[in-house]
Amino acid sequence: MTTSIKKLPDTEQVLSGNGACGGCPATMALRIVGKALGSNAIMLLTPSCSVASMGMTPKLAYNWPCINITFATAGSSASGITHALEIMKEKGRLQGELPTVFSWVGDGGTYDIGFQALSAAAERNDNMIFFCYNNEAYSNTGVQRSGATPRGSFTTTTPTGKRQPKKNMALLMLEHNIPYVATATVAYPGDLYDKVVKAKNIPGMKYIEILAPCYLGWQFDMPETVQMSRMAVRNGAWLLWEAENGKIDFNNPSSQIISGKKKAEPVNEYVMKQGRFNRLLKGSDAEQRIAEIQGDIDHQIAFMRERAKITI
Amino acid sequence: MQANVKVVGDTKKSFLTGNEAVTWAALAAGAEMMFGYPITPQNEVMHYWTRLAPKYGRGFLQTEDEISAGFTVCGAVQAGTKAFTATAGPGNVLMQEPFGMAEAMRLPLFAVIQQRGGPSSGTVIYSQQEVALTTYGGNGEGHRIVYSTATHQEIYDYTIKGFNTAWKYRFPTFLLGDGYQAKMREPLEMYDPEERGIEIVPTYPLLGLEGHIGENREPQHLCNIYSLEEELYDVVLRFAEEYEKISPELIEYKENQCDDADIIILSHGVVSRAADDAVKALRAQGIKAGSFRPITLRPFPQAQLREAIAKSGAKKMLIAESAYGQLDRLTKQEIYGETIKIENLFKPGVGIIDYDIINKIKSML
Repeated sequence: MTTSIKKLPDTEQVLSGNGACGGCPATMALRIVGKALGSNAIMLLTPSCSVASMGMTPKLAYNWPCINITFATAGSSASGITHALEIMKEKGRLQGELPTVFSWVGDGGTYDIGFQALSAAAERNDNMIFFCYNNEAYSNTGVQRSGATPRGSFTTTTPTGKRQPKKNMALLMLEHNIPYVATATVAYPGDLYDKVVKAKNIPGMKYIEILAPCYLGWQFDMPETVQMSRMAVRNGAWLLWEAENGKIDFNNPSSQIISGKKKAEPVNEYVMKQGRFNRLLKGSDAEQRIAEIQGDIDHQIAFMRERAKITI
Repeated sequence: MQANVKVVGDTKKSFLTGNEAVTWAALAAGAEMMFGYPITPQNEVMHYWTRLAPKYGRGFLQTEDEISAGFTVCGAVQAGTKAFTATAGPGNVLMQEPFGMAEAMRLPLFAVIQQRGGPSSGTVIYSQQEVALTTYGGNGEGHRIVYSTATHQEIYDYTIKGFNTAWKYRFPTFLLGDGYQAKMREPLEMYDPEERGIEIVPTYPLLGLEGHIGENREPQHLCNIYSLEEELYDVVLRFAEEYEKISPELIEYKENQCDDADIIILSHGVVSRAADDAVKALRAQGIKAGSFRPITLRPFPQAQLREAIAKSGAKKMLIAESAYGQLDRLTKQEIYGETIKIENLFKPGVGIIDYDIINKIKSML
């Protein structure tokens, strides 16, 4: 049973006075992550919105020891810390429970420039949680395309719409044979909370990816962040699942879509509510472009349904 | 290839950001392809390019990081395509690998660097802290050509020139701007190169040449790895000799009232504008100041600076820069043996205005 939002702890690790945009999904998600992790954690951040919005130096809105690192090195920097903590513990220089080491990284720092270091850390099964808050573009530098940008989406470097579909990053991480992989999004805070609590108690590498609809990059109205997140799940553009030791389980409502109990909603409304799509859908090829976007979603649903059957 | 396509048409006055000026100049110079990766403050070069390039049949590819952006340029120029990239700060660091490779293979790579504050990710705003990295970065000997611009007009002019230099001499060529130049707006004149009688150096493929090796042509040997120490030694010496031979043709500088100066202000890039203003103000107050600005930081106008010191008889020089001594070190190694007394105004990562220089000069008198 998923934890109700009303039952989440009162503790806050994300403090007020930070510089995030109104309706920022990354900050919302981090707040829930904070409730699950508690204060005994060390946070690593790569250049991203979450760094730009964490407060004016020397003030910091995140209530953990935080380390800003270079764009490509979320995996390796976290590995360094986690190895050091283990040695300190071994030598008796660190008493009590080890802090949770976690990286908080955008999709550019995960899918693109950071992939090599992340993949290596996963292969070593280093003890950390790697969070990717995925707003499907390089939002911090002015909304350029990333490996997570879906096909058909406008960005400042794809002014006529991205031509390639996005990568299935969570699945790629699963194929590293790490003990825990999960996807989540801000419209389902209890689901995210439970997944982080679970990850915290599993040794080794954990990967959690959170879909973070960014009003600025996606071009919708600021108060609609959560609604957009929910729509993405209901139409199957974002599937909620988790995999412990390689076995994929889908979470509600994605599980109903996968099992066929419920049909995924058509993508049209979701697409038309977002400027990043609808500004490109006024031409004569609009139908074909929506069909492509729908086709990518249908393909992923069908593929993940089959992939989940492999349990060896 | 695209050089004869008119991009600008009639010469026109424009009011643009520096990043926009880079884009227009690259189009006018006939650049066919840009490779890039997001990094502030150069992002808008990519944004303008992706909007404008398709209208002129030019291409763009965003790579997964700067190492790849640099190497895709290396690949494209080997195929004979006029390609370029733009980056800044940590991106410039990652690109040192492809830049070094371009030096080793003598590739006509052209890159725009919009300096930001370091170390590492530092600030996204402004600095002159990428001088050492751009002139001598990488595991090589700094066989590079680096133009340090001061105005948007120069950004436009030297972007066009940069492509020509790269393809004519085949040493990697850089336009060294900064965050201020990238982001601020300024009037400039845009033109198509042929309007000014600028001949565009033709591009040509370096690989996949016609004919058969051993029959009717020599192999095109773009070697970048050597089995023996002596092999590398021979190649580096040959490159050094060629570089030194062409240096007099490449060196550019600006000298302002150095003839009778008692004190010379040395600066580069956007800081040289403050230096020129300071000279004007100091002269009005009866202080005989002059300014000297290397436009090419590599090759450095060594003889010209020595000459300026000699003819003026100046006893003092102020080196002013928005870095902690990068131009200072570069200058001192170039004018070793001069006895002129050098003082510094180092403001790493911070802009320098005329008052800063005027006050410093007065304290030196």
